[in-house]
Amino acid sequence: MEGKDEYYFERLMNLIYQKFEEVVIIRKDITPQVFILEVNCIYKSYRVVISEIVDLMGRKYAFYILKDNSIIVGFDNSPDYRAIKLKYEEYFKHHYYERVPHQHTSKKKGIYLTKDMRVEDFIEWLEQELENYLKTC
Amino acid sequence: METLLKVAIKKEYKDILESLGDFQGVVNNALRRYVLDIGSERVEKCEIEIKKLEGKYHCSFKTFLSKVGTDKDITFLQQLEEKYPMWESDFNLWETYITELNKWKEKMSIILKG
Repeated sequence: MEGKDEYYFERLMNLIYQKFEEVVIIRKDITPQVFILEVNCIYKSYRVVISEIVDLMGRKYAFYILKDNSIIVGFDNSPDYRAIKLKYEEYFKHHYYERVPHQHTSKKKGIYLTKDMRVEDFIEWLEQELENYLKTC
Repeated sequence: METLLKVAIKKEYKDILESLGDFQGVVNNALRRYVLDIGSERVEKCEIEIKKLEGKYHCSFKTFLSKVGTDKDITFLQQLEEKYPMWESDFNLWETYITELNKWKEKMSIILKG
């Protein structure tokens, strides 16, 4: 595991407290083998859910921005077959269950491939892209 | 098979361990019990979390994975997202606890056999 420990947790939480309001830790489970963190917080008038897991299999994440309980945008790297299909097109069946970083648009009506995202990348996206993105919704 | 490791322990522990007889045997036994204790705790935690997710989604992780990770049931994701639009977060958690549970069961089985 890539050194995800209490120190990493402190560093991540400092960043989250710095960038968001009303931060609530929903889940924290840190052992030498597993790092699990789920946080709910507020960014401007949006509810944000940050979920990051690092285990021996690698890094898994899901980040959501919500307004009135409806998803405005979401980023995750789950093995969603729609993302697999986008990435591998006609060969997608050979890649079933493969994790693929992707973005869901408002109410999950659209899906796009993205680069792998860390919490820092997600925050950067929020600060730099959210305003423009909202104009397209 | 045994491996020689250098580990610093508190003097008072060393004195107590030595007073219990065969130092090597006592250390091995203490480590075995420690791993089993930690393992049992984690197994219980994983099983509780897995059960919660199985209850929430009314299926096993294997079934869930086969429905989101393939196009064999294309209506599943649509229906799932109406009720649980943030299922990915649960999916990640579910997979993690299943993996951890299996790893701990494997480790504990090795220790119990030894």
